[in-house]
Amino acid sequence: MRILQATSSPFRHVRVLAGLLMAMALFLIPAARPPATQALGKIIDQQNISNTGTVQSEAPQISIGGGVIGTSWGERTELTNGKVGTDTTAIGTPFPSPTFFNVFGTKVAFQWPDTAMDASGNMHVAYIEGNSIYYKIKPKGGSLSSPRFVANSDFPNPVRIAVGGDGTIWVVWRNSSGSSVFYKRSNDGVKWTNGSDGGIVATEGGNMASPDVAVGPDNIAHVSWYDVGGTYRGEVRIADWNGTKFSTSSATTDGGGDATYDADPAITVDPQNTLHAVWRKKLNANGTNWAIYYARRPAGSGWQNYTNIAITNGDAKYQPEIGTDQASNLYVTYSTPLNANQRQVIFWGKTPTGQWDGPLPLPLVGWDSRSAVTGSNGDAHILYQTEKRSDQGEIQYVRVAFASSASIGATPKIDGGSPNNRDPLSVSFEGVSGDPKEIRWRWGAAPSDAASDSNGWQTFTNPISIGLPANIDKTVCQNLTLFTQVRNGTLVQTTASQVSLQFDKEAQANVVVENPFLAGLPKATGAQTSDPYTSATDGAYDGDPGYTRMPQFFLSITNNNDCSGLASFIVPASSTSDVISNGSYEKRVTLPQGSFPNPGTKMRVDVVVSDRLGNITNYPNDIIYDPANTNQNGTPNTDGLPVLANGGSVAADNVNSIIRKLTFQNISVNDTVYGQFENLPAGRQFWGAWIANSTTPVANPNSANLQWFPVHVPTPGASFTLTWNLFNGIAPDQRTTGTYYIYVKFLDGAGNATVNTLPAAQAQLSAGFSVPTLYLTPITK
Amino acid sequence: MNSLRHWIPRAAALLALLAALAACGTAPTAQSQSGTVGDARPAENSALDQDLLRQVDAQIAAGKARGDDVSSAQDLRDSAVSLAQKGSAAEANGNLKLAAQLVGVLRPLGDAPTAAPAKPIARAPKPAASGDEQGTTLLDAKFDTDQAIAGWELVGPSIPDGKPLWKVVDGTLMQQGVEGVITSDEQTGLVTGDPSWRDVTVRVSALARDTRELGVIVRQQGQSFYRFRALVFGTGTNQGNLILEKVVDGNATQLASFDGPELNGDTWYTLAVSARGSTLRCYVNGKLVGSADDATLSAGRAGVSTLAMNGAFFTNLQVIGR
Repeated sequence: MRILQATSSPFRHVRVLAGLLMAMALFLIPAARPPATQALGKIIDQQNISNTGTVQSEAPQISIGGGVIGTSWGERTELTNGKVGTDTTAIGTPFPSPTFFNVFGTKVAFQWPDTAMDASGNMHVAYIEGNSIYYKIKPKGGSLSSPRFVANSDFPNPVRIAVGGDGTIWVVWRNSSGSSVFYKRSNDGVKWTNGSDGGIVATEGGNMASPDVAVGPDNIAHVSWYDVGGTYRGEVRIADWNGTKFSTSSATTDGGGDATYDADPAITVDPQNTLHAVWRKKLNANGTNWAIYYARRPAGSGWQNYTNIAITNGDAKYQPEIGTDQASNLYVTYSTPLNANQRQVIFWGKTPTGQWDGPLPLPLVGWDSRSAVTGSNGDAHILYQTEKRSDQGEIQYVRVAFASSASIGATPKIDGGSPNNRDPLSVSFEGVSGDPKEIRWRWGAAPSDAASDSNGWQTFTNPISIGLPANIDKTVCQNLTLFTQVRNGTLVQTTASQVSLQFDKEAQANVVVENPFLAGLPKATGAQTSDPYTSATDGAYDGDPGYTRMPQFFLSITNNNDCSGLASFIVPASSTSDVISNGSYEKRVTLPQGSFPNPGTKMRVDVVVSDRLGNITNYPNDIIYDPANTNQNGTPNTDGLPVLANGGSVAADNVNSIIRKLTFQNISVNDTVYGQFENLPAGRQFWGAWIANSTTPVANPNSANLQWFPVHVPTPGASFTLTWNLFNGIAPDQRTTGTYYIYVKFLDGAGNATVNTLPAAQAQLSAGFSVPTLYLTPITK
Repeated sequence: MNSLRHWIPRAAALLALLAALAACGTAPTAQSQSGTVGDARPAENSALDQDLLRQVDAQIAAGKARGDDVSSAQDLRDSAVSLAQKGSAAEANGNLKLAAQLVGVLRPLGDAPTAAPAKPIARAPKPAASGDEQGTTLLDAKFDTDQAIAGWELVGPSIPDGKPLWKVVDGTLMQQGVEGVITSDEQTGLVTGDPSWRDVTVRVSALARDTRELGVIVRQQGQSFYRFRALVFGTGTNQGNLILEKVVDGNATQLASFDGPELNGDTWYTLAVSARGSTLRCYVNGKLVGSADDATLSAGRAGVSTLAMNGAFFTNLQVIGR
């Protein structure tokens, strides 16, 4: 071992040399390559929205307006016929099954449709059938309209659509040869017009390809395309609406050289009215390397910020796409090859003041090619065509959270819908974002630290059981609103979500159980007004509602503001049940105890009503059975009839009018049942009088075929008066001057009549008798 | 003094090692990678960035000296200068920044690796014989100059976007999409020869890069011919990737589908179809994959087919028979 020879420290030289070497190492070895910037984007939703199996779904387009996402694409079912697929959904909710409609004479491989949403959430669709362009509108929450003709053209391919904030719809397309790009516009989707240019954006003769259209916040339309050949070969061309026609310019002027050829521009306009364009730029003669290129044109300025976003891993092949949102964030998508069998769609985003962030590879299916992108509130909404197998394309939807502020939320939904009778309720959540861990809720207002019905924050589950407000009257149908708020640690939902429902816990009905012989009951139940006295058990068509003289009662059920509607009823004691149609029911029903109930008894009649939610409510009623025959199982009798004591009288006044006042005196009527429950004293046990007229005196009113009319006596007593019409029961041809004989019986509450009759009262009608316009209407059977 | 003699050579060796390490990492390495293509350059909208131009020129020169393909960077650089002279400074600086990225002066956005220029297409190996080549060599196309395909005829459906472009590139026949820039899913073919060719074997070396199928045409008359298609992006199974079709007046009918996997990309295959009487036989790399009988077409020219989406390469196209 050599020994270091030093005059001072033997290791000094070594230390110095080592130090120098280390310093030089630090100088010479370059700083580590800066780590790749992490893309801000995070995929938060993904869905195959076409699901057409082996049919080729292709060329998707996407737009957002009024919180609704609108999509369209082509379905290549046949060589020259096909379908257009469309779908819409509110942001944050899954797409439902798409809507398809046929297109005839269309080469779907080239004649692609397009969609645009307006600020009200209506979807506008432009599509092609053969040589004609058509338009449809799908109002928010509605269905696609019938087709409206836009224009004829020589094999338009493709068609693009945009809607301005003023509601003007712009449609552009190229023709078969690409000699021109055309346009039409409309304010109503029905009448389509053009400016002073005959509907031609530009004619450039160099095969104008890939037209696109966008409308700025100033409602100025901008169109882009590129020229495959000709004067503007390989240039990105732009046309701007000047009020009467389009004026053209170039965004790129570097010609169509091997490394400068620009193709397939796509444009968008942000809320600051800056026009943004993205296109693919060929980097070599054979087109085996392309750049995805971007530039922008602020309002009133020229094109600037030309930026290469990415260089594809081979042939870019397909048009890149660009979108923006309310905050002027930008989103770009394009397809790049991975290997011979796979292509992947890539996403980049940019905030207004930041750099382009990416790349974010989107979920790979197979040959992922044509894409479309738009944005809302910092999220990019993307569609792209995917093929796992050749010519079996599907349309994939992906949502990327790019610049959205961290948010958390969940939209409540009442399980079972509205109206609802569950108590407690089961509440599910849709559009869940931000991974909530806790929830609180409150009825009628947003929950707060000071007020909640959840007793503060509870563990979030989906679904969750939530009790009804503590102080509501559950017997009535009512509208309730539930407010919910979720959180995850310090990230709290900014504004509570809410959902409303009709709560219906009971079957709300009006139930009437009453005398089936009451006046005014529907004729369908057999009610009448007057009738002849044919026997002792013959009774009147009126009486106390709480009585019946036969083993039946009248049942009426009507809706009393039940939210869901009445469905059916049961009278268990009567073994009777039926459906309730159109909200009401009316019929005679057998009394409990069947055909031979106990006379003189007050019977409980429970009517159990159900509504369409399955709520069951019991309506208890009573009715008193008071037949004429009190011996239901043996020899019939008439012990149930009221009895008129002798000594009473009735007299008519002398007014020469058909309307007479009858004065009763010394009236005494007793009944074995009526009055017992009402505590009517003896002699006062009657409900009313049963009165008949005759123009001739009759020996026996019981067999004279007189028409008897029930008249209620509100306060039974020995003396009282009634108003009476002499023409009641009198045939019209007999209503003349002369003497009228008035016969009176008395009725109990069930309408049973006294056998005896008061001595007849007489009334004279002389010539010139008056017939008042308002009087007791004479009624004949 | 002896200690210095001991350590100086050792230090020099260590320095050399450190220098070598410094040269590692990404290549090409510029003298300074100052920013990304997304960074705004000084006076970007009003004047060409002369500092960046110098850096780009230096790296282009260095690349040429190494034998690198810097043609794209050169074109963009030249375009930038031309644009600046015409007053389009913003567009000029955009192209210059892209050129700078290609030669490593500027980093790409997101520091994503810049895709290397496409590798040259490897030379095709000698075509695999099938044993079915009977008769004389009627055609032996070499694709050495553009004139090699003079008079060749396009077959296939008309495409609204333009005409499929076939070019001779570095000794191969290359399909370059529609008009050289547009991607289409439509079939395209290029044929030549004698319409009286009857019993022939058509054999070609074919390679797919960024395209989905390669094919051979036999007995072509107008828009009628037989076509053997080998899929690169197919079914993902062993079925449905090798298809024999009859095209009559432009309408294709499948005559047979043979078992076999999808072709690999960037790989040379020998594809062949022989037509003898009414029997058609299809071969991949000299191996018979299947046959079918059809008497519709009895004679015609020969050629190749693919999709009009760029990325199919053919060479060694031969027609043997009578």
